[in-house]
Amino acid sequence: MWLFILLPWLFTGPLLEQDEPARPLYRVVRSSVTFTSTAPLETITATNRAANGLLDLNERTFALRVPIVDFHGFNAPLQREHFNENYMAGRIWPNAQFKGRIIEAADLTGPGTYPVRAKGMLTIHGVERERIIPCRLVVDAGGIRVTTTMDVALADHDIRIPRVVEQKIASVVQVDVDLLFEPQAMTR
Amino acid sequence: MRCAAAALLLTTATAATAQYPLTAAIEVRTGPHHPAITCLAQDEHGFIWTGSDRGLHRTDGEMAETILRTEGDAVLALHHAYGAAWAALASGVLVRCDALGCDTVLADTLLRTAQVRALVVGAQGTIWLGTYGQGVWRVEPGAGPVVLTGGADGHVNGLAMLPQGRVVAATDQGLVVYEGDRAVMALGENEGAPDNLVLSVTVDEQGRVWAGTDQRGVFCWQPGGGAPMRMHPAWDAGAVLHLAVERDLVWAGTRERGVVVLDTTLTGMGLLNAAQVRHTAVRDMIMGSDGRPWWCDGTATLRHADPDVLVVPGHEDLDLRQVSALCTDERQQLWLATPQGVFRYPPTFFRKEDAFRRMLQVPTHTPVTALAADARGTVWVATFGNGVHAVEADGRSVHYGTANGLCNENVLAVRVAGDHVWCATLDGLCTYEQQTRRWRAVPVPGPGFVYDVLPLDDGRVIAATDGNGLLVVHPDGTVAPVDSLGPRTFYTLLRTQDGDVWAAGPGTGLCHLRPDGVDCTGQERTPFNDGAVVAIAEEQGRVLVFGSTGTVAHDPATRQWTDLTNTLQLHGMQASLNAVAKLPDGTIWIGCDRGLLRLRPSATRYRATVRAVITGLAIGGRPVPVAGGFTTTHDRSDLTVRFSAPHYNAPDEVRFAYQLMGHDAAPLITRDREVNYAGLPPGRYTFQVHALTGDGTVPPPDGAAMFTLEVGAPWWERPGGIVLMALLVVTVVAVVVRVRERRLRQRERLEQEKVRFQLEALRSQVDPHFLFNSFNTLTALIETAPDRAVEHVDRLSTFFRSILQVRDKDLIPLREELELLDGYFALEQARFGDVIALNVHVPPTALDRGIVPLTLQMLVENALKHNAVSAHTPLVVHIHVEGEELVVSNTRAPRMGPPRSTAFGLDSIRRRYAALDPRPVQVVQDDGAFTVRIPLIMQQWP
Repeated sequence: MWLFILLPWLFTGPLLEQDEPARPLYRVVRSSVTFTSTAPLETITATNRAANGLLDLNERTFALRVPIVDFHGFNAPLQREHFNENYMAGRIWPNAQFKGRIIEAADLTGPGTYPVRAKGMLTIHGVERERIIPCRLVVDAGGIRVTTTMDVALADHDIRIPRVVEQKIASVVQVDVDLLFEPQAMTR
Repeated sequence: MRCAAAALLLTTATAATAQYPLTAAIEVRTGPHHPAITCLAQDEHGFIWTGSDRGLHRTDGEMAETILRTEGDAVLALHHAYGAAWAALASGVLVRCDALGCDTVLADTLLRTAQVRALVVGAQGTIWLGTYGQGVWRVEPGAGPVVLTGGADGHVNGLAMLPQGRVVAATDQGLVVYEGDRAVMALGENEGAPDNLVLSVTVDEQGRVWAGTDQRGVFCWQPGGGAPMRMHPAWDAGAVLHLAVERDLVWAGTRERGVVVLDTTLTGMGLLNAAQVRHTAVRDMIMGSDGRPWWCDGTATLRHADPDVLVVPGHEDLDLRQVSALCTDERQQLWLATPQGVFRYPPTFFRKEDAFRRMLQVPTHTPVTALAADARGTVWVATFGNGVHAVEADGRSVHYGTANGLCNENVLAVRVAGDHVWCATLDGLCTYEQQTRRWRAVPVPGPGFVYDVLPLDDGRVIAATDGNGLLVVHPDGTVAPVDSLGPRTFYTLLRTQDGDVWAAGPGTGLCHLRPDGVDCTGQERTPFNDGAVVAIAEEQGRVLVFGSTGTVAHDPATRQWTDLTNTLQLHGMQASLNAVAKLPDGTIWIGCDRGLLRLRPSATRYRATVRAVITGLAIGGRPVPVAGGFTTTHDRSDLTVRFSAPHYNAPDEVRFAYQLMGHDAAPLITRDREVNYAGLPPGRYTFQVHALTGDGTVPPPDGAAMFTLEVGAPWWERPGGIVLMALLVVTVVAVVVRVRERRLRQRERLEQEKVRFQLEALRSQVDPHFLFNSFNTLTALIETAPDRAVEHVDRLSTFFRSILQVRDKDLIPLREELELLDGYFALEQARFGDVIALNVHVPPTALDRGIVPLTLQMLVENALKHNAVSAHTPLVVHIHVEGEELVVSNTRAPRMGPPRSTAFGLDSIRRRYAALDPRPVQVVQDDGAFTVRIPLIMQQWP
């Protein structure tokens, strides 16, 4: 809920503080969020390239939003429809979100590879869960690349799978995330 | 905020499959809903309080009641201390709840935006809140919150109370200790903490801080006492979200692997069956007052574990599922034998840095059957096929075989008593005397198989044989059967703390050796009826018996058996003969096919500590706080008592024996948890309730919950009221008596009057003058007119008869009175002749009116008496009716001289009328006439 408080603040922050040095605010420019469900009878994979997000290196906070309807892949169009309409209830909860902070105190401004932990609230299917996700941050001149792999238990987020398809959908799905952040263009 | 507590049904399910530690589950149901329980606390009675998205509930294992209904306002943190539960709600409200309801302690809008993660309560009701992002808040009673300064970045994951009013917080940047308003100590990675990201914290009884980290397991820290100690370097169970510590056991609630138990005396860690625990994070965890950890996972199910049963399946490369023999030595070291060899562990069992192991040169195909340690530290290792090895304290070992004088190299048991080592072999008993270093054989009858041997303090030795029962070897070397019960087989001999000797065997049951014979029991029950059994003495003289079909405990004091098969879930366990050992603290180690089983003395194993608690009281329909004594009034004497007994091993077995002494003659036994008494009569009552479990026919003597109730008598039954009542009664009686007396006296007077009147009338009638005159008249008549004389006598007699008839009556009709008057007047007329006259003018309607008898006769007589009657002054009496009165008047010619009468007649008439009619008798006297007005009385004649 206070993501809505946080997000505008992140967006408007630079505008309000024009006279100060530019804040190291980064925005997602390229993303790939892939989930893989490995069940005895079927393996389902879908990828989302429409994720949006911000990373504030000063505050060490981030917010990430993944529109549910933009997952592509699946083994059949009907499967995608079920995913959007039934399991994820995309009309009610159109986005999956992850917002929080980076725990490690390491200085992330210089080029290099940093293993960090992102701790925050993961909201899927309208259910919030606090997660601590180990990530790999690669900082270079072009921007910051974040890669991680996490497990999401469907039961954690109250996603109910009909008994009929129990053998086709895993109860724990693997989510691979690959994001490229670039410094946000200053707008006046 | 207050809400009526509603009793709700709660179902119980025990763990479906055996696992160690043992877990059990109870489910909290609130009607059709399954609350998502995220917080736990336990109160001083043992009730478990739960906070969920629906509110606050309290359960005793069998029933749950809702203390606070919030409907969507989730409980974020919960703590029970100082007789109340304290909860932080998502709406930013802090509440303090007891069984009767909740009070708001603080409602702060800032608190709504701060994410409360933890709540602890200190003395004087000080509350500390751990928020994620806004640090630690302190709320003093009646004041606003104070944000404590310093320490990390204010992202708190957990809180715990330290001694001396300090609080330790687990934060994203390590541990922080707060004292007063500020942080006084911090422990992060720079100070030696294994991980900055500390997710959970708890404090044990010794004041040590235990912390659970994200990636590096659990560490222990003594604030101000040096570097922290990481507990399990090879931790692989992920983030530790919650912790509970009791004695040596650390219970870690993890995100992905449920609850993991760490025994700080062991390097290995136990793991709860992952299939049992849902793949969701442990949401809260507490240490119960009985050492039993409780946790919840965001569902309606609560889980708890038995900390006293632990199975260690292996240690490093050592497979502990094949332990064939166990013993303890003088230094409390545990010796164990597996096919891999014989190993010794120091008292801090399995602590890796202390671990010591020694492998003997024993061929692997000859299993070790028994171990025994003597006072010098030598451990005797008995093998099946390779004789006996003696391992000296310095590590040297000596082997004894038949070549050395051992009777048989297939040794089944070895025991040490003083200088003597006793071996049970397939060919009788052998004993080794350490001073002479010589073996001596003690032959036994039959095939000679001896399974166990037990030297006694008095020099005798008991042998358990195959088919020859128990034998006793006397100090002089003679062998005799202990009893004459015939061929039987015993596997195990044991001695309890009290020195009692017991033997157990398949089909023979558990036998107690007495000086006069053997007393066996339990032959027909499991596990004696099938296969081998292993027995060991437990605490308080109990004997534990393990077999493949079950586990039982026998209490010689009560001669009762307790079936522990379900409690310990040891179905199908194969325990090795001689693979049992006991440490001085009562811990029992058993080698079985599941691993090394550790049983610690447990208070709950025999369910002896179920205590009844009175949870709710209503007197006169109004709930009152539970206390020891109450008084009430007679019109508010309805009593409702709710009681409970927290018992989580078998909550459905709990029954209650309650009695309201002064009302119930005997205790009543029920499964209900509520009893009602309506309209108790005044008096003194004592209510007491016991909780019973199992067959529980004998209530524990001190386990009763009780209170007294005095119902006051109504005012009219109290001493003052009684006096008042008596006074009232006396007054009423007195008044009634007085009135009655007055009426009686009046009637008596009337009666007297009547009598006097009658007497007067009679006397006047029999007035000598009247008679004299009558007789004179008669005499004259007899001479002059004899026929009239007869008539006169007739009249005379008629007149007297009439008087006799009417004299007893109060009233007579006027008609009769007039007839009577006629008779009288005729008599007088016979004397006076025409100088007297009577004029009667009475209408017929008045003839039925009542008149006092003889009134007219008396008035006429008076008139004759008082007036001079002559031809010049004739007397005329007029009688007529005026209205409701009879008027009697006569002409007046007063007689000279004194009157002959006593003037009684007129007064008598007045008095009699006064008693009968309110109207007065009026007498008017003037020169010409004398008039008397007599009221006529309405009267119905029979």
